Amino acid sequence: MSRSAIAGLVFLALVAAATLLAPALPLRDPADQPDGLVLRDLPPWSRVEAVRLRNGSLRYAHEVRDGADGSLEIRRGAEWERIPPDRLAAGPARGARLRPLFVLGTDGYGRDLLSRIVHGARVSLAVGLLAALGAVVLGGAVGTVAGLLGGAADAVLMRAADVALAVPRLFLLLLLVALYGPSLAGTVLVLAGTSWMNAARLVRAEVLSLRERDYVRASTAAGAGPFRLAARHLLPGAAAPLLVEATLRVGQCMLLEASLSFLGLGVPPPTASWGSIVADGRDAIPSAWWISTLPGVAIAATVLAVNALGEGLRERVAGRS
Amino acid sequence: MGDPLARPPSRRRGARSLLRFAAGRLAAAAPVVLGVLLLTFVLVETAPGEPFDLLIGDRPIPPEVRDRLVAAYGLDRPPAERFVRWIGALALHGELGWSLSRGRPVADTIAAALPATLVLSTAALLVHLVAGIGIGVASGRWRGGWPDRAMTGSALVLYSMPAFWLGLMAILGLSYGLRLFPPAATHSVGAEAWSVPLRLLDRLWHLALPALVLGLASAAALGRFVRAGMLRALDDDFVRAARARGAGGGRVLWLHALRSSLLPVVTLMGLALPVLVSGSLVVEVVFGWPGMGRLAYEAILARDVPVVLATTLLSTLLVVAGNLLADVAVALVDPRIGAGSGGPGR
Repeated sequence: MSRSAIAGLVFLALVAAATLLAPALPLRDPADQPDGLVLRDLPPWSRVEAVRLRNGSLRYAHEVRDGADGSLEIRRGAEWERIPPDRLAAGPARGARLRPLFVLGTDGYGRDLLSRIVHGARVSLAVGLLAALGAVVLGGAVGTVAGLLGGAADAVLMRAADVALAVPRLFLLLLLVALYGPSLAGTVLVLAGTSWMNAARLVRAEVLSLRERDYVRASTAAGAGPFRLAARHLLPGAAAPLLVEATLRVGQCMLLEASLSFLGLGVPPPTASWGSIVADGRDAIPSAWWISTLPGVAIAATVLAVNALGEGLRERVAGRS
Repeated sequence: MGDPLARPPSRRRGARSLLRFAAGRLAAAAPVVLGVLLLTFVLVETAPGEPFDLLIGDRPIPPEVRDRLVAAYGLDRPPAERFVRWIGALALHGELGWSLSRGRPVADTIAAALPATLVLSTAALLVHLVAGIGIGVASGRWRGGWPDRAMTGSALVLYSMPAFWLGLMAILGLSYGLRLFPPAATHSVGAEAWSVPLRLLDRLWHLALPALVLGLASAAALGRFVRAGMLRALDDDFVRAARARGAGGGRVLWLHALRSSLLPVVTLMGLALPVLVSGSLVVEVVFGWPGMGRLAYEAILARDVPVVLATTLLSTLLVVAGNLLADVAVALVDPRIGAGSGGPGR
């Protein structure tokens, strides 16, 4: 496979690993808003002053200074507050002072952006994968039936594919969300239900060409039913192009999911997805560019990796036949 | 292309066969339109909830009032009859229903939004074609060299970006950063008082960013397609023959190779148009462009199903009409199509 396809595969493996391991990684809680005043709109790679308290929690501050008899004084906004030594974490007072790092900064609520992006990957990846899988299965079924039965069934099914292709997908998705309301399962179903046409055409063409091959005819003559025929001979023949289609479809479904989430019509809050994080930062674009930019980079990079992998697979498949 | 030295066949032919071809395409588009109508009708029919829920809100109404409403709107009729009535009203009177959130006919809201969408889509389509063909031709011309790799690479990157994010990044970099373009709206405040050429320039200035974003986002796929066609054509016998006859590189590239790879492009438009119209929805939302996409978006936030339904139908019609035009354009250019049986390879 080409180098870019392998790079894509490696990148996807990393993203998948980060997504699966997200709960175990040393990340802050993606929904936690520990301090809306101090942590608000921090640019990437920011450090803030903080004091560790006895109960283990952190107090964030704009400024920290030593107070009398081992206490610390912290400033949040214009207000100074004295924290007596018995409320501070054990050890010398200096040891209770920290400067935690926010690698990708924070959003307008003071939530950790890195953590939100890593956790948001789960929705984006899961929806993309499941929707693509659904689309390929549905399209494969439609294509097989159309190719095997032929005649009126074929005509009706392929007309249906034409209709589905002619509708601008996002408008249809909006209509479906308007009628049924947003939900995770609904998003997956709707994406699959509007993405099956390519797979159907592909499988149908494959079935039509394979149907006339000798070994398939022999199998039919030997009394194989249509299901057996499809399972044993036709679908394996279509597997390679279908795999390419499925891979590229994952990228398309991820983009559509991102669009829906951006419009606020995808997976309902508080679950974050990459698209909804971009939407969160939209109004802050002039002042806090990173909130919208970084999750978009995550989307684009992941979809790019998927597409590079898909292209690599396509070249392999084309080279083989 | 049997004889490599053969000149392209004459393009002159009867208007009648072209007309017949156009009629044939129109007839083929009819089931698609009908299918979309049926699809949306079934979706609305099977959706959960009562028809007057949105109108009434949370206050319960007496059953007899509800029954009167249902009868008044003909909702007690069987679905098949309502479907036919709906289409009849749609086709004969352009009746699209009543917008619940705006309190005026849906047709009025659509009519107010349609021009903005048409302007944006047309401009984006131009960008799409120019950029897509440019990418394809340049890649084909410098095949394997760095321009090819740069173009192919950036096309793949563009293809992988969500359009709404590309729009936000353009606003961030070009509007807020470099202050080259306005971040939103269709014209400047107070532009009504300006002279006509100035107003036109102002409009174009506001149109540039959304059209570029929308067109470029979808141009990548076209570029890859044109590139493949160019590579195939440049290897083809007729191009070699043209070269052997002494045609220069530019002439071969632009006239012979591009022309033969353009016809599939028009066919590809059938797939690009829905993407473009879909994309216009998010781009309109991002740039505050007062078109059908933003109308649909605002309608959906207000749960205004008639408006969403109408925009879905109309955007589909737009796509179907665009495809029809493209098909006829192909038939005008390609002598093989429309002259009776169709041509080889079709």
